[in-house]
Amino acid sequence: MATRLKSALAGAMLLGAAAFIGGCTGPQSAALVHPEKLESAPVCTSCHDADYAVYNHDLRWMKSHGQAAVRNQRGCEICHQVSYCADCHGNREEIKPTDKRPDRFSPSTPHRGDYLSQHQVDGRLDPASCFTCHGRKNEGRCRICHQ
Amino acid sequence: MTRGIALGIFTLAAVCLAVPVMAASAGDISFESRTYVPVSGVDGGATHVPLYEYLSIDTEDVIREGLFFRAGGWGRADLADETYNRKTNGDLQYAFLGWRAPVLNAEMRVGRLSLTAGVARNEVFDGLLLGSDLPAGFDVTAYAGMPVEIKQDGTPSGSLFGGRVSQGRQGMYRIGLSFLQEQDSGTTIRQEAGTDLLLTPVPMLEITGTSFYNASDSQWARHDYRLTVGPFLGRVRVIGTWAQTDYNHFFTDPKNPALTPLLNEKLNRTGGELEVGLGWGFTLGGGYTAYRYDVAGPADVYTARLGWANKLTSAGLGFRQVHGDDVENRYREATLNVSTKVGPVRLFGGAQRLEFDEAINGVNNSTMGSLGLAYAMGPALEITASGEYGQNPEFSQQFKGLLAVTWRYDVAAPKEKETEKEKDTEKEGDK
Repeated sequence: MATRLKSALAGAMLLGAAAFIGGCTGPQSAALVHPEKLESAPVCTSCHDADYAVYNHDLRWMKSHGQAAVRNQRGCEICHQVSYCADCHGNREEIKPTDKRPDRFSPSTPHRGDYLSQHQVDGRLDPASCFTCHGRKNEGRCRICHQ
Repeated sequence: MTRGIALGIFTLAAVCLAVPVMAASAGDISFESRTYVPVSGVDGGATHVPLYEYLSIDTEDVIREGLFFRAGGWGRADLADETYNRKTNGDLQYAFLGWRAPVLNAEMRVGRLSLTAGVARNEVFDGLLLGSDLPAGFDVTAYAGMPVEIKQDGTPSGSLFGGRVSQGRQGMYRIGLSFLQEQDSGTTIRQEAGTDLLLTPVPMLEITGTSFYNASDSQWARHDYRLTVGPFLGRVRVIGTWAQTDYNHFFTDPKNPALTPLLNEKLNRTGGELEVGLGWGFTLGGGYTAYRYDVAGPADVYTARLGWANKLTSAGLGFRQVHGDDVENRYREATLNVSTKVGPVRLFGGAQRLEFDEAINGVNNSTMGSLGLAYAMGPALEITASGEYGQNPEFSQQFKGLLAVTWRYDVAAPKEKETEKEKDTEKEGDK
């Protein structure tokens, strides 16, 4: 299965390379940066049509933004610098997000307060959820204590 | 380390050479500096005063249209006791040159990249990335390079390559297939494949999810899906979640002793959430999640929150109860947060109370309170100061403080300045 998938992806990549090199005609590329400065937590459908509803930064966005990034990271970069994502998802980060942004004390912000005690339970609950930020292969953050 | 230094020198050289060119060209340049001094100390223990500096630069349409450059990284120097067993540390998080074609969002990036695409999750590597939209709703991403992560013996991994292809129709669906392979010294150490899905067949119905397949083991490692219905009447949203994880195939060669007990475990997690806009700025939410394991006993998590917000002020109360099979896996958490803006100053505060069913280090509760303010000294400069005090099972007294200075400098494209010049010229003509 892995071999067939690799072949399929390789074929798709060749198509992509052909399109890239040839500079085929097609829809105009999106802007690299959002042309208007936005306030925090924008509701994209306030200006764009319903197709952009999946990007609305509403109450569920903290939990759903990961899947949007998996599908289209470049869409995130229209509004966010790469450093913005790295603040939580940079595998070598030393400052936890709530320490960098103490004003964001919301229920969905991870590691607020005394997480050292909490993580003993949450880590047993589902350690796969830890790896969203701490990385699946790079367990360096955990290894500081768990040696 | 050597590759990092070389990349850092490349970045610095690129910036030094490019700035005068950029200043004379049509293009936008943004610099951001963030300085953090998170002070922390515990009774009878070490006092940490690390000084962090985060720098980032973003440029668009320099030298030629479509060309962009991004770089960012940080450095630390300890002003008191050592932090994380070393006096200094730093990281070049990303530094790449990119070009986007006028059509099809066709794009090329070269340098240190941070990538999320399909099974690639926050992969940081030095290499090349190609991406493009294609006809009939297809898009494709391909990448290859050398991973930046360091193995436990201090050496970097060898090479990494992969890609993602997806097909969809905006506003209706998108289905993606992806693959990633990592090799070291000729040996394949990671081989992963996956799917990602977005379905919005009718208004107010959205299904998203990912599935992750460990191609080395030929086993599915994780499925994670979410169903969102609403908002009804603009106020009510219902969310259902399901995730299944096989830890034996999810973790790649874990050497972390905290994870090895889980290698024979499978988790089935299902949950539901309800969010209701009550009006007058109030929102009410609640949820329940069931954790069911093959080996360990079950666990249930209950959450509730009440929030209120207007243009200047927001406040929230939250509650979370984790009820595991054993008393050591049970706790309750209550949180409070308030934030308000008075002119250019934003005041904020929060509190947290934890109660554990089984004592940790002889203590079965934890309390924390914090206060702070952020002062915007204009559009480009903000200063934040905050303090936090707590008592918890690890430390009878723990204090933290933060001083943060964020400075941003933007250089607008000269074409805007020319417009002002034209206006001045017109004014001159009117005289």
